[in-house]
Amino acid sequence: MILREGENLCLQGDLTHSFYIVKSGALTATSKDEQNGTQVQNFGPGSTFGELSLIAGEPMEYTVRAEDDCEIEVIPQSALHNTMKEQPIWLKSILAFLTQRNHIAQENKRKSDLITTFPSLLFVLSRVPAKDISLVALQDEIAQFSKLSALGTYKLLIILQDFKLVRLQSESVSVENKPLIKILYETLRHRAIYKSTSPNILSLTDQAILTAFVKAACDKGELQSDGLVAVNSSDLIEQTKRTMHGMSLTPRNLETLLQKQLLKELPKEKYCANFDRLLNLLELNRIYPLLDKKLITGQ
Amino acid sequence: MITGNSQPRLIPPTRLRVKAGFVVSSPQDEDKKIILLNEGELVALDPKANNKDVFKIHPGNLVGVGALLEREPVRYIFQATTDSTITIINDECMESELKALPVWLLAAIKAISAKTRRINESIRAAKTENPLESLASFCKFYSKDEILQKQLLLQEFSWLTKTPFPAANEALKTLIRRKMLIPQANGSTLTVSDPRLLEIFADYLKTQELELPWLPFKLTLQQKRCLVWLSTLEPDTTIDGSAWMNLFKEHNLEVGVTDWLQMQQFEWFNERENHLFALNFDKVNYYLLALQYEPNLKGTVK
Repeated sequence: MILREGENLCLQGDLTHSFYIVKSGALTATSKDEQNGTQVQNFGPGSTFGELSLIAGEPMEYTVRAEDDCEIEVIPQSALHNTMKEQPIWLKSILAFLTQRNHIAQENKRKSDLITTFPSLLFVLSRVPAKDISLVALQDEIAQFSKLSALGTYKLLIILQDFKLVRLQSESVSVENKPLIKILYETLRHRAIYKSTSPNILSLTDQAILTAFVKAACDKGELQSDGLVAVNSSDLIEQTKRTMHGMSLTPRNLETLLQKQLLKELPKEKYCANFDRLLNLLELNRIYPLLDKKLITGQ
Repeated sequence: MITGNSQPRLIPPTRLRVKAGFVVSSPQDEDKKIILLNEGELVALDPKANNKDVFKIHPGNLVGVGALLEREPVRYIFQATTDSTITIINDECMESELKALPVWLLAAIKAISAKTRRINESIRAAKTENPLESLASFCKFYSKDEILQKQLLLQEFSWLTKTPFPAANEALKTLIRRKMLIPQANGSTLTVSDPRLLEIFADYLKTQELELPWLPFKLTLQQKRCLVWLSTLEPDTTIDGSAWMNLFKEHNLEVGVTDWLQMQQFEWFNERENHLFALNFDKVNYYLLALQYEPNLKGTVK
């Protein structure tokens, strides 16, 4: 096949079902991928492309354009079918296996790019001084940590928006809850560096007690001079009973929370806590188990 | 014996009937092979997890393709759970079969394999091309007051960027040599000398990479004088273009139209409504700091 300079051999997404071998000339292949952006590669004599189109019938991965006059050998799928008739049956299985492995690798890469860039995004958002940051500037910052495309970063921002941590505007992103972004980042960092669960991740009992504390504080809390909110022990016990379906609050239940200094014991049978910190911790514990699924599905 | 047959000789695969419990392949096997299960059932056992049953292989399925074609390590032990029939395709058999294939099909198979290998490598690879630029960008987010644990900082950076620890450490040493990070007396902690300087350094490295001119180092003597004078003004100074030109003149700074346009290219002014120009104090300081720390940025600091 002869291709003149400037002619397109195929467009990305075309179903050509063919394999191409460049005999002479030069071609440029451009692919646009929502996660990796635009990528360009060059083909010259001896280059081959379209292997997945031939073997698996997949759409062409790139738009291929002749940079000068080219001679190209085209292997159509009928040639593959005729050849495979003469081959042992297991060779077909091997081809299917190789194609499937390629798909798995592509999918793993897609997931891995999102999952591994997520902490970088949290790091940047937790550290930028302004509440609003332009999407372009944010993308530039993320590019220092990852090769994820602008669209990939946008997907991650949508996940954060679902959790009400940021708000997306047409050209910028507004950081809605910086303290929570910070503790989410710290939680992931702790897991990665110390290979253990962060102290921010609470047991269900601890979460229930803190939820009871928040409810009791909303109803009958007293604001202390140091900014902490105090709750009478009797109110906390009563609220816990309701939250924990009749379970009694014991000193043992409170031990971890006192140790972690999430609750502080005051004289006159009262407990106090940093209300905002508790709200953020409870929210962290709500969204943390949902994160992996969100990142894997990218939705 | 010369047969006159130019076709490569095909070595057929081995077909075996195995009893339940028979180990058909294990990580210790020296010869790599593909196993095609014709009848029966195989189980994959993980020797690193006390031979835990990981998955089952059913008739028509293959194992060992990666090991034979890509020389990947074999992870599991494959054992027959019932009496089974298997086909073993070893190195010689595969090689003879591949040799007999048309060249284009062999090229297509190799291309798919290479593509998969490249994708898998890119998953494991560092996510940035230039660890120094990336580390500078990372450290610029820390304030001067924060005491940073050196080891923890490196671990955190390596985790975020997948930069290998030795490369991250080298980049850290470079930042210390250029006095952008200041080690504390105990040696295990450090502080950031000026976050803005790290930001400037990352920008400087980026323009170097792209082979673009680095504007702060391209200023003429007159432009440098203007820059220093601008830095003494009130940050909010906003007047129109001709008033700026007059102001320069009053301070013995000869600024022509070309210089004025260049200053706008440097972003020293922000254009406002009614043809007014506000001094962009942030950018002026950026240029000033870049000039002040030129040896640090260029790596000639002693």
